[in-house]
Order: sequence, then structure tokens, then C-alpha cells
Amino acid sequence: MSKIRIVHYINQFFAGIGGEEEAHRPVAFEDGPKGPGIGISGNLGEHAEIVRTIWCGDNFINENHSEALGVIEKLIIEAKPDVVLAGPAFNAGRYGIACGLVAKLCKDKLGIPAITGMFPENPAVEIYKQDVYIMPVGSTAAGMRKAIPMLSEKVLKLGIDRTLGNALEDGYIQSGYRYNEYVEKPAASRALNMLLSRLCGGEPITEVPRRVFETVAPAAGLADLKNATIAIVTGGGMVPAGNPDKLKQAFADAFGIYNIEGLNELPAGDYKGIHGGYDSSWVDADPDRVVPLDVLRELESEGKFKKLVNEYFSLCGIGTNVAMSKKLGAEVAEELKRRQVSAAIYTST
Amino acid sequence: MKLERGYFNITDLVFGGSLALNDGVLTINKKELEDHLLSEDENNNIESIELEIVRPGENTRIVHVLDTVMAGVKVEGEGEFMPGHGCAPLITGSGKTHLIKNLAIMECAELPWAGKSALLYPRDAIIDMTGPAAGYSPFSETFNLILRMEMVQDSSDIEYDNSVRNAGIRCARRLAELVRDLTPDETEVFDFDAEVDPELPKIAYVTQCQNQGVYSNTFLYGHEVWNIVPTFLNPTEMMDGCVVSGNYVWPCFKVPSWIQANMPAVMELARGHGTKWNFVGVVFDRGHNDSHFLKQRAASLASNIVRRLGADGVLISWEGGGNAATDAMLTLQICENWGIKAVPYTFEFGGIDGREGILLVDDVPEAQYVVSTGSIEKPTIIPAVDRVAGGDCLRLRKETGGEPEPAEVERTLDVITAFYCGANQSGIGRLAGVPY
Repeated sequence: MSKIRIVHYINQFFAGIGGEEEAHRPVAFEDGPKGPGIGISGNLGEHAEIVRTIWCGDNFINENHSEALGVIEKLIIEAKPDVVLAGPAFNAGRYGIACGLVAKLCKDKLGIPAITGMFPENPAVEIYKQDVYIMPVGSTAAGMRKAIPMLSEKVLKLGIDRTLGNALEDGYIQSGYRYNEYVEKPAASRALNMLLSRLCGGEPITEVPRRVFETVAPAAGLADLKNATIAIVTGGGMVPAGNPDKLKQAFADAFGIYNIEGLNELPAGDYKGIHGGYDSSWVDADPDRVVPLDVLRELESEGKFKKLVNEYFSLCGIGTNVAMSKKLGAEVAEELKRRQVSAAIYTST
Repeated sequence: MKLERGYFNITDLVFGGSLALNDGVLTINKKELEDHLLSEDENNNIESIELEIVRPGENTRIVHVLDTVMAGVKVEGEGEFMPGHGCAPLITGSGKTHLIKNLAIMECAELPWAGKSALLYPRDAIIDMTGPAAGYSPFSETFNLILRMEMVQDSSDIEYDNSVRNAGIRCARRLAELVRDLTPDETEVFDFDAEVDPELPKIAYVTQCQNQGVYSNTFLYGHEVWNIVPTFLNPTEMMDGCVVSGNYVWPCFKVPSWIQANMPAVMELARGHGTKWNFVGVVFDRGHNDSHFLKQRAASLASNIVRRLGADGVLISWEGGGNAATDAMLTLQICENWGIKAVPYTFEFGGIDGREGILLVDDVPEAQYVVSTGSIEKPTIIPAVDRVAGGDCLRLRKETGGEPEPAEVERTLDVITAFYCGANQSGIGRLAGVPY
């Protein structure tokens, strides 16, 4: 087997040119390993070699993307690598961007597998983790000693297989992509192993990362209820009988807008609950239980507020992912704004 | 409690002259068993029963699956297998039970839909014996005896529900009688009476079932558990079928009776009991409590049993969707706050490629360690099949009409909710959401 050919990208600092004062330096290269590549070469054994090291000043590449990448692209193609390694960039922001740019260029444009290493909180991680393999490393160059064997192993694997396994197996920073797969052990066995590890003081890797909630600031209260226009929006899945818009009973991908002009209540039988998560018998018997038209009409006639919008908005709030919920929510909000609504009442179940 | 389970493995399931188990071949007299089951249906809610056999590896799709039960019989000890169903609700879990290990008895029927609640109607549940969807259900690997039932018109939901369940259980009992006096192929002994090394870590298991009304209920010792206060079960009681499922609402979320009697957490914990850890017991609970107050109440009472058992750690699983996740997560939170390490396993969302970042419907900051049973938001193409069992059509999407569609053709299902056991909530399957 011929040796795996590796091209290594680093910045001016790791190339030994200089620090911040040399960050304007354009792209340069040398055949063979340089800087951290020397340590990496020592870990590659006989099966792989760093054939070329390319470097560039961090400011130069960040300020002249296309010019720098154009040169880098040519230098990479010339060296005919099986795999490209960039960095590691540790917590250096501009170096991280540079590594991300180079690795993405290789993967997307040149079809060459690429890998980099960064501190997980390096701002470039969020930008590039979806596109390229980023191995987690320490925050400063003091982490180099630990990073070298790990990066050597992964770059070698990537050079041979052209792809890595999943993020749990190979330890790179999770890209956000997740797929269903059949793994070796049933879920209950894996949960027991995770628990046993914890009981022995271990910190096993969770299979489901913690979600991060977005905080939504509540809107300001109504200053003038008497002059307010009110709308009803429901996630409770109340629709005209026959479900004219063919809304889904779970995993909503649309909402319906239904006319209630001239109605003082939603008559039982004319409206049906289709929500797949609760027993709809009680709202079928009295649809106002989920679309409170009856009381809102009373309050409207008493002048408590000015006007009820003569349409209500409905979907089934169940199993709908957040991205779709945001999209539908924004669309409903647009519709409400067009109707000059001051406030909406959202009923759920 | 001490229970010996004796297992019989069948090598084939066939129709023939008379009911017998010879050299691993289970032979069933089709007509005789059909007539028997029909004659035992007290209130004549079942119009007809046709038995069908589906073997592992067949290019067959099973539809209209309601519940699946195991053929088991108490050989020694108090109570019956599946206590409280056609027998007294006496405490089981002691003595000796014989089971036909790789046989599943499936109740399949197209129960009436008209006028039903939007939650509480039996959705069409699919099992593919081969192909890309086969792994969703453990029953692609068992010999399946299918009770394909036609129901009479105008019975009540409760009557339909009771009739199909009783038919399945009666069928299972009749087959299990065959192995009462035979010597099992293999046995396992689960001894919860013996002294356990006090140094071993103590582990409990919380299993939270679904029970929201007829067609979504779960039966404990023969009665549905709407008003249950979380309760303690000895692991061997579960092995003897004290939990029976009547949950037909969302197919992917079902934990059928067959699995309830073979809960993977129960079995695995019981197998290491006394040597690797101390399995202190099962807390049986219901999710989908109606308000935050009731969820906190149930979670507190369940956690309190876990604490009273002296558990150092607890596994938590649940049946049902997002609503039930909240009950389970509250239980986890309370346990963790009391210093009891908790690991749940759950299905996830995340969209087609996982990038819709919110994976769980609900969780708590204490849920740092969670096992994935796979995402339910993955489209699955099911190929055309040679044969359909359990019925001859599929009824999907009741809310938009739910007209019968051909079952044998290729189709794409955009989420996996229609696949029987597809969300893998019992943790029996190897499906997982895997990060890249």
C-alpha cells in the first residue's frame, strides 16, 4: 500500500514566522512537515506522511478569503493529498476560522476528506461543525501534547477510510446531524451500563445531548383593553367538521383559519377536535371548551374589549418540532398583524 | 419471591390435525381453535376469527395489530400467568412458569372508527417481517400466530376491547397448556429471597405506562390503572404477566403485553441480581397525569418508593409521547435531587436529519445522562410485500378521512408512528439516534 498523503495547514505562528505582528503574511508552503506537523509525523508510523505544510497569516486569510483560498487550493491540488489536516487551532478565533475555511474547501470543493481540531468553545466551532470534522482539543497550545496522538490517529483513519464513524465512536464535536441506526446493544442494556458507570463515579457520555431552551420574552401587557382587537389561536385542533384543510392530528405542518362571523358559539357537531393527544370527546360535546367563543362574544358585547377577530386559527400542537413551530408561529403572527390584532388568546390542551 | 422460568423454543408453527408440540414443531388445528375462541367470546362481539401464521423471515406485512401476548402457564406457585384475566387477581411471581419463548399471539382487528375520540381510537399498527422496517418490532423475529378478527357492529368500545384481549389471552393459555408438563429447553431462576451482599449497588426500575381511556389502557392484575398510585412490584410479578396492555392508540408507543412480561430492564437487572447488583424492585406508575399538580404528585410518590427501597440508582422508561415524558422527567428530577442517580431511555425527535435541535419534548437540568431509543421523525420506505396478514388494508390518517388503502404496496411513511413498537420505549430494540 502506498503511503497516505497528508497536507497540513497551520498559521504563521505555528510555522515559526511570528505572532500577531506577522499575521498579515500571505500564503506560503514547504514540502514535508513543519511545526506541530513534526510531532504528528512521529505518530503516523510508516503508513502516512505529511507531504506538504501550507501556512498563512491569520489576518491575511480572514481578510482575503478568496485570494488566500485560491492559492491554498492550488497548493493542495498539487500535493495530491488523501486527507488534509488543519490546525489544531485551540481557542484562537481567527485561526479557527482559517482552519474551518480550509477544511470546508477540501471537503466541499475538492472532495478531499479534511479534519481540524479546536477548543469546543472556539467561535469557529459553531460555524463549521456542520461541515467538517472538528476534534476537541484544549484551549491553548499547552494542549498540543495531548492533541497530537489523537489527531494523528483520526487523520490516519480519515485518510484510509475517507470518512469517520459516528461522533460517539470517533469523538469529534457533534455536527448536529443525527440518524437512526441499529447499534450493538438494546437501549435498556445501554441505559444500565450508563447507570453502572455513574454508580462507579464515572461520567459516561450521554446519547441525547441536553437541549438548550431559547428564552422568549413575553410581550408587554395590553395598555388599553377597551380598544383592543382580540383573536383566538388554538393548538387544540378544533376544526370544522370534515377537516376541510386536511390538517394533521400530529406533526403539524400547516394551520387552518376558520370563519366565525355571526356565531356566538361553536355548535357541537359542526366542529370537531382532531388533536391526537387527548380525548376529544369533551371538546366535541362543547367546542367552546377549547375555542372559547361563547365567553369572548359576551365580553365583546359588554364592551370589555373592542372587537373579536371573526376568524380563529387552529392546528394540533403535538409532535411538531420547534423549527416547524417557529415557522407556523411566524405565519400566524403575520396573519394576526394583517388583521391589526392587539392581542391573541392561545388555548392549548 | 423466587421464580423459575422454563422456556420452550419452537422450531416451526404449522396448521395440522391436532394441537400438539412435537420436536419443537407447534401444530395447531385451525378450525378447532378458531371455533373454541369464538365460542368463548361471552357477549358475541366477535363476528369471526381466522388464525394466520407468520414466520420470521417471511416477506409479510402484519396490519391492524392490537396487542401481542405470550403463551405462559403457572406450573407451581400462586396465581396464573397474566393474573386477573379470566382468573383471580392473585399475586404471581413465585414458583415455576413455563413459557413458549419465541411465539407471539397477536390480536388483529379493524375496530370501528366512526365517531371516536381523536386520541382514543385504534390506529393501524404495522409489523414488517423483513426489510427496512423489520427492526422496529421484536416480533419480526418471533413465530406469530395471528387472530384476525371481524367484529360485530354497534358494540361499545369497552366490549370490543375486552373481547379482543380475552380472545388473545385464551388462545395463549390454550397453547401454553401444551408445555405445562414438559421439560423446558432452558430454565432461569430468579431468586429475590436470598440474602444479597450489602456492598452491591442497589438499583430500581421505574416503568410508567399509558392509561388515558379505553383503547389506551394498561391493566395491572386485570384492571386498568387510571387512578393508580405508583406502586411496588416484585420483578417476578412482571415476568408472570401482571401487566397487560390494552394500548392501541399510537402504534410506535405501545409496549405490548408480550414485552411487559419480558421487560428488558427487568430481565437484565434480574439476571445480575445478587451477583453484580441488588435489584431492589420495580415501581409501576402511569404517565399522562392531567395537570402539573398531578404529575408532581405521581412523580413524588414514585420517587418515594425508589428512595424507600434504598436505591442508589434507577432506570426510568415510559410509554407514550410528550405528555408522559414530563411525568418521567419529574420523577428523574426528584430522584436525582435525593441523590439517586437516574438514567432514562427515550425516543427523540430532531427532524429528518437530526438538525432540528430540540430532541426531547421535555427534560430537566438533572437529565444529564439519557439513552436514545431512536428518533420517531424519520421517513421509512416500506417495500411491496408478498403477503399481508391481520387484515387486508391500511387505515391511516383518520383525521383526513382514513379511507382504507392497499396494504401490500410500497409506500413512504414520513414518521414512524405507524410501526408497532417503533419508538422502542421498552428499550428492547437496538435502534438509536446516533450523532455525527
